[in-house]
Amino acid sequence: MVKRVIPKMSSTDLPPKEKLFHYPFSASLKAGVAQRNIDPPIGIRAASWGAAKSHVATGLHRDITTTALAVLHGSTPLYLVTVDWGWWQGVKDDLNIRGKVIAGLGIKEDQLQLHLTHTHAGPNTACDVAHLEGGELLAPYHQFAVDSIISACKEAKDGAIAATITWAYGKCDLAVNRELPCGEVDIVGFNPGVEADDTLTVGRVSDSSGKIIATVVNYACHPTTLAWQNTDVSPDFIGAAREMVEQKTGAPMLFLQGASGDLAPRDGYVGNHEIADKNGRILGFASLAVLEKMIPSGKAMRFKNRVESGALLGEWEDFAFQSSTFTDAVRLDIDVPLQDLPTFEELEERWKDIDAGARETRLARARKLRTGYVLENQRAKHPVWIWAWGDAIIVGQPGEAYSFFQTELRRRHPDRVIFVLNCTNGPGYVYIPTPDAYSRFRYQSWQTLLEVGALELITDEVSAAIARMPKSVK
Amino acid sequence: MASIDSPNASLTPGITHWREAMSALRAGVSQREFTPKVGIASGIWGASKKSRSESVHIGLFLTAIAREDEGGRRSFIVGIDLCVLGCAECADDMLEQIAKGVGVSRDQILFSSSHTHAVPMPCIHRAKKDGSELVPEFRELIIKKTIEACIDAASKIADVDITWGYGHCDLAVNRDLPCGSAEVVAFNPEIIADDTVTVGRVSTRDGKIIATIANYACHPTTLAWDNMAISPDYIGMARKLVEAETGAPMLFLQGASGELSPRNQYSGDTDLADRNGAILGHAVISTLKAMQSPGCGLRWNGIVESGALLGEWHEEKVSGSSQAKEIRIDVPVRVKEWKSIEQLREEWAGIDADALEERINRATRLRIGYESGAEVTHPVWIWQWGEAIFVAQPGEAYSYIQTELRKRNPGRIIFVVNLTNAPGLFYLPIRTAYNAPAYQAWQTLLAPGCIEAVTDQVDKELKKI
Repeated sequence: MVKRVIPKMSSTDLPPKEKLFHYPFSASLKAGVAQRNIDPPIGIRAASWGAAKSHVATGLHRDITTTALAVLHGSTPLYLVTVDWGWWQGVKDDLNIRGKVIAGLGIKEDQLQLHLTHTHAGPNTACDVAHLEGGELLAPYHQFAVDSIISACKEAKDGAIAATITWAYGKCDLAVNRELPCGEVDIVGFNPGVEADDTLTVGRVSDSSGKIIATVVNYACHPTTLAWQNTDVSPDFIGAAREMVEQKTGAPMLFLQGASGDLAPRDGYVGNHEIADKNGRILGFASLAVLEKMIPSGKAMRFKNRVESGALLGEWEDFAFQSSTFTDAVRLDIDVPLQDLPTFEELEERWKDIDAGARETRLARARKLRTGYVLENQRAKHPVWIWAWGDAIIVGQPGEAYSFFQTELRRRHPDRVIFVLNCTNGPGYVYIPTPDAYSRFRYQSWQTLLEVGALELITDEVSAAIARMPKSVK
Repeated sequence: MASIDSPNASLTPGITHWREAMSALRAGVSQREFTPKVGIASGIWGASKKSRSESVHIGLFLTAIAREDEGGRRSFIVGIDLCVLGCAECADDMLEQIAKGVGVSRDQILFSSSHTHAVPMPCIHRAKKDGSELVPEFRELIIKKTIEACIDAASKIADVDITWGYGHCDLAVNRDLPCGSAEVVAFNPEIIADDTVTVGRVSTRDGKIIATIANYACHPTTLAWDNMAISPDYIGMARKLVEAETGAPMLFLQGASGELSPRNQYSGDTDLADRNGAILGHAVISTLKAMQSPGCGLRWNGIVESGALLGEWHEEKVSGSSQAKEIRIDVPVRVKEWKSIEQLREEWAGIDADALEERINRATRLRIGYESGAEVTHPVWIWQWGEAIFVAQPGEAYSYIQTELRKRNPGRIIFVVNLTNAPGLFYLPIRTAYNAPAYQAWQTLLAPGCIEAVTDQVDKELKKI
């Protein structure tokens, strides 16, 4: 038997101090999770596409769910809730759900980030279309969803336990740029000439024994695989991704849509569910790869010793460490400039030559967008919720920000893991495009009410707020 | 469903057809298991307490892809669960026998070790240890199974489509850690590792996947001196996952991983090897899933008037390039002024006796065919298979070669493969590794500047393709 020689280490045998330890991004909090199926009835109104010939659901591709993660900020619960729905068209629709959830939970508005995954194959969120085909099923369904969200939030809060969350970035190649120059204008379609942000942000919530109780996946990609040809309700690619991750971890997964204003799957605008599932697996496998690389919950790594072998080797070992317990919750109302908005008559004139159905869809959207958001003097207050959970920052806002928002925040704050959420709370259900979108007259720039520069302004304000939050000291 | 009546119907993008890098070739694939008998001396760790293997974690496999050109000439890429081929003499003999058995010249085969460190070394000149008696038999098995697989792959040659793509994988970290007076081979959290994974999907003309190729740079050193199981290391689980997903063999090719390894390693726990394998396996599958259907690209289908003005792309059948060219270059490099074996023995006198003998044996066998300070050449095989290029060489190059070649040739899919063929079974470190000094710099026979010379020369050849 040969004894392995581990030389006694003097300080000169050790790596420099900054290379002696490796800490994961993490948080030590009280957290709970709960999930509910909120499948709508067949026949419900599911009108997401102007080009669709049918606006009611004829079937269900995969379950529509809502998942709530409750985290205690001091003694105050914060609720991060995700729902497999598309988007709010206006304040009334938003408050019809979110307002009731807030009231039902008896909490303040800022304790809830109610996020929509942005599937384009979900039941409608509008509360003023009961007169349209399938619309009569919306009110009872919305009430069912409200009850389910409240119940999930309560279960999550009541079941909150001491938890460790490990945060990490990965990469996923599902999304491509979707701003395709066609002559003088850009249309919404795959553009092979521009690279997409591929950042995938993942959180793993574990109990004190290391058992996973939830995962959080934040990725920026329009769920527009299923389009006008599809008449089944579906979470789009999120469905298959979630199924894979949940099967592997045995715990609910919250999907959070990133700043995907300019991003979508390369394979999209189809009626084929298999393509949605294929897209989901791209994300699902990428998410599993990130989860697999994480250090065991509650552990960090430190240099252990040198080992003489064929080469001079160095061993590392895991050790228990206390993650940051820091939490914070900030709301910003950022003063943003609005465009010189056309009157509705002008919009009618602009769209007079297109298909009547498509024109009505656009006009109705334009009216609802402005209510409750547009202030006098061509300004609006764009709300942003910024929550710090240990080393992670969760930035939620109602608009459809371009990916610049997330790439820039992450670039400016490399020492934190930043989740960036579109389609969260309200009002301000508008695109937040980059300046070139305005100059190319893209859909996003005429859908939005915001003036060029709003994205940069919001990014700067959020970045400054993040910088004010203390970092954990290792 | 393009809106052909729309006033916008004539809007068309500048590019109306798009596809990934693709190749249309004639190729076949075959896989063989060659797990040796338990009890064989396994592992290559100087710090090992025992030499005799006690179990099999996951079986060892070799995978061969045969390609045939228009004139009927055949060439082969073989990926095998080996660490290295042994000393120069053993490597030479094995490669010679394989080429002869397959009936081709040595330059028509890229025989590439995955570099798992939990397998027997097929070298009969190592210090005799418990289980060494089974090594000659193991060598014969490798040769026999490789010849079998190559011949079988050649017999299955048919028209295939290959789709190529880059993905990302976070398994590897940098492993050059400054530590007191020297660099040790250990996780260095301060340096970001290259995360590129290069993937190929081989399918028949009717769309059935018959093989995948994965090229990733990361030392398979999860399992180390405490492990007594025969194992492909992380490659085992990665391959299992990918093969279960595709129903076809996966050929793994070790990238330029001279300074890259898993973050969690040097373990006796095979579950850790599986977890590391799952990181790679899931990343490879994610990349495969992101590919268009086999043999397909996209064509512009027109605009659709909806809530927004949308643009539709549809899949269409396309073929990639069938251009192929296979060359070998011999790059002039200089051997460093080395210390004599006696000097090394003196220098290492304080260390564990087994570790010392392992080092002396390695150094001695490595020097066969080389002289201190001499001008020599380092072989590199550059194979263009349609729209992918394989750059393979025998050494353990640092990731510089792959990141640099890919940076200088951004439109190309480049597989960079270490530990392929022979001679030249030593590290190709970057200049700064010689300053520290890192293990790799004292293991290598080459003087500073070798990897830069090889990279520049290969780049020149790539520019000609």
